[in-house]
Amino acid sequence: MNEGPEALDLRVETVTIVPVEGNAEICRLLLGTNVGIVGMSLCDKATGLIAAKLGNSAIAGKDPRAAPALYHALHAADAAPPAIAALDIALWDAKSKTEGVPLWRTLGGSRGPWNVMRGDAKGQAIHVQLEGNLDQDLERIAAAQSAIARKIVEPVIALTFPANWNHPDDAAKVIAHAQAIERHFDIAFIELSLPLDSTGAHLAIGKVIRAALCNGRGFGRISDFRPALECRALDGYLLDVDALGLTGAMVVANAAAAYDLPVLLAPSMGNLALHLCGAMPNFAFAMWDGRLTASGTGRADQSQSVPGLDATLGDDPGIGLEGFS
Amino acid sequence: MKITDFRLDTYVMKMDRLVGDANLPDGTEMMPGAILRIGTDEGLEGISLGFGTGIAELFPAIEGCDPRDTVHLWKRIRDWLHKAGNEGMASLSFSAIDAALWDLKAKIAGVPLWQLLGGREGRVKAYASGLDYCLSDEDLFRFYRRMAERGVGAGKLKVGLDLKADMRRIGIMQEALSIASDKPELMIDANEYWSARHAIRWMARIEEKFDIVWVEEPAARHDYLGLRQVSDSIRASVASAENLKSLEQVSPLLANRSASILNLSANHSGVTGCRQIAQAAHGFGVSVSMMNCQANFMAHVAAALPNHTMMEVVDPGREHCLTFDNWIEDGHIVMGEAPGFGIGVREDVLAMLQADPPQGKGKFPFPRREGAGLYIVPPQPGEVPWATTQPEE
Ligand SMILES: [Mg+2]
Repeated sequence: MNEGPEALDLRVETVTIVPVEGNAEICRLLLGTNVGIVGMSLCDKATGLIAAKLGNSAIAGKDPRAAPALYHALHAADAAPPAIAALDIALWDAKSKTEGVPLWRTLGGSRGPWNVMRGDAKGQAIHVQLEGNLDQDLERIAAAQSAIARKIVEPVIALTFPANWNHPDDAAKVIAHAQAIERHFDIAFIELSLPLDSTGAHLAIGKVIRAALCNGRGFGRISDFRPALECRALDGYLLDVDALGLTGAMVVANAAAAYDLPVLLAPSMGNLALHLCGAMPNFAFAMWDGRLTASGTGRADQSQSVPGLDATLGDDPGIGLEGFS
Repeated sequence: MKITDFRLDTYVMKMDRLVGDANLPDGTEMMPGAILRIGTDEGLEGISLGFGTGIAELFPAIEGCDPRDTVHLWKRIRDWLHKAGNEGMASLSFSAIDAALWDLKAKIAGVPLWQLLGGREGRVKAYASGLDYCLSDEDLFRFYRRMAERGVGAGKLKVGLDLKADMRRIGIMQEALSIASDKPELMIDANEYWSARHAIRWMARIEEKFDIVWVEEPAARHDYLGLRQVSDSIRASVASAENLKSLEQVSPLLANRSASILNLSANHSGVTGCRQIAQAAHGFGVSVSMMNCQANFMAHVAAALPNHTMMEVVDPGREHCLTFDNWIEDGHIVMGEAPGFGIGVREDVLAMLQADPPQGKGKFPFPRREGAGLYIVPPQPGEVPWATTQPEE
């Protein structure tokens, strides 16, 4: 029989939020445990307040190593998805700190390098936010493409359509815009802002455009993705870890893998979503998040090589976001 | 930490009793065993149990790598097998390697695997499964009663060849389980012997008398439209997927809503593959049920799945050369604190089995019975130890 070490009694004791210096919008969510390990995540202040309250009522006293089980229990109790996501990330952070390894290793993945997609010319893929005026949008794409084309033979171009094109009736507008753009550019991915259950609109758009249709940013319940999954209405899933949590993102990624569809990761606070890349069977690209790196310190402790062309994860335990700012 | 070597021990065991189904009604008492151990430069060793004997072909894909990077290594083997196919012995070996690496990963972390995988407790609801086509009515009752005495109030019966006798035996199972539950959960398993239409006809007659929770493999594993037809035509859930190997093979069942329950095991491309399928199923709103295995080691994986219903327990006596750290209590498989799968090897017994292989009736794997999917070949005289339905009845 295998003799293990004494079973560790590990519990979350308190859930608190502390401000992030120099950034009024973002706070740290901290899960203090009885053994001194502190699980951490980053979220906006409003989410942090809800998450702390939820954490103190529903997570305190629980073992953070059960992160996925706690995640599913919180969703079963119908708590707010972004607050669950913030708790989930902090629980995973605590879990991998308990193992003394970076989160990517806890998840069984690898350090990379992973494809990142940026709004500027530093990645191998470019991501352009469109605003809906065709001439201006074409110029935006052209500018981004010419900046990257010097380094990459066939750059990957992903477009995010305007956030206010968010009604199923906007399908005709989406089609006209996408077709006009595809006359000039070879677009790999188009991210839509339609409701995720606009199956008819997704299928109608997908029939007449060439790019892979993606959606999912901001959606935080696994069940939100079911209508699209059941009808194969999308060609790729854009998973937003700040809404869906690490646990939920993994579930949806595996469901998308049933069709061999790619997963793109939406920008995540401090780019912590990169930890998931190696643990997903179908990771393609991660959208780079500049919110924390803008302060200058960024993920310097975490990422041994930041774009450039890709991102590589480091060896700090957990999500590795202790050291910024 | 680095993976340095492996050791594969194969052996044959004789179980405590026969096991059989519609494809092999007279059953077998013999079963092959394979214990894989993957070694590291720090002395820790990962163990898995299965049937894979093609380990040497795949080992170069993981040799020298860090064993904690389980999913990463799984992807390497998956890609390695891409053209040849994740099938047959290659698939079983892939599964065995992956499971041993997860055992190792949990041992490195010093925790039972259910905890490493994020479960809240090492406890999984169990259902009794006799693999019982070869058991007399009396032995059938005894088996389910013995499980019911341990609190198990759910059971699954092998059916398929003799409708009236199958119904009599569902009643025997129900009666035996009734000491554990006022309303035992009843499942049946046709092991792909029926066609979809046959399943619809016979399920209609069975459901006149019994409330069946699920019917397992009521049509062929790949007939996702036929399974969907059955799903749409009966009250019970359809369970399937036990003979598929990977998410790619399971995906038509999900995309076509062919089954409400997926039967999973370590042979679904290891712990990694099994979890992937379970999570994908969760995305589609489908539940999963872990299949029986030696020492119930996959209960560790089941305990950490969000959509797991209950796990199959057969308990035919397959643990001759194993020690393990779980037991049945209050209708649940309860796991102890031993790290990884909690499995150990009794070297002396293993050496004895290898030196002097036991002899007995039958062998694995089960073949397919004549008539499957086409017409019914009822049990022949002397084939089963229970009263078959005669023409004059
Ligand atoms: Mg079965």
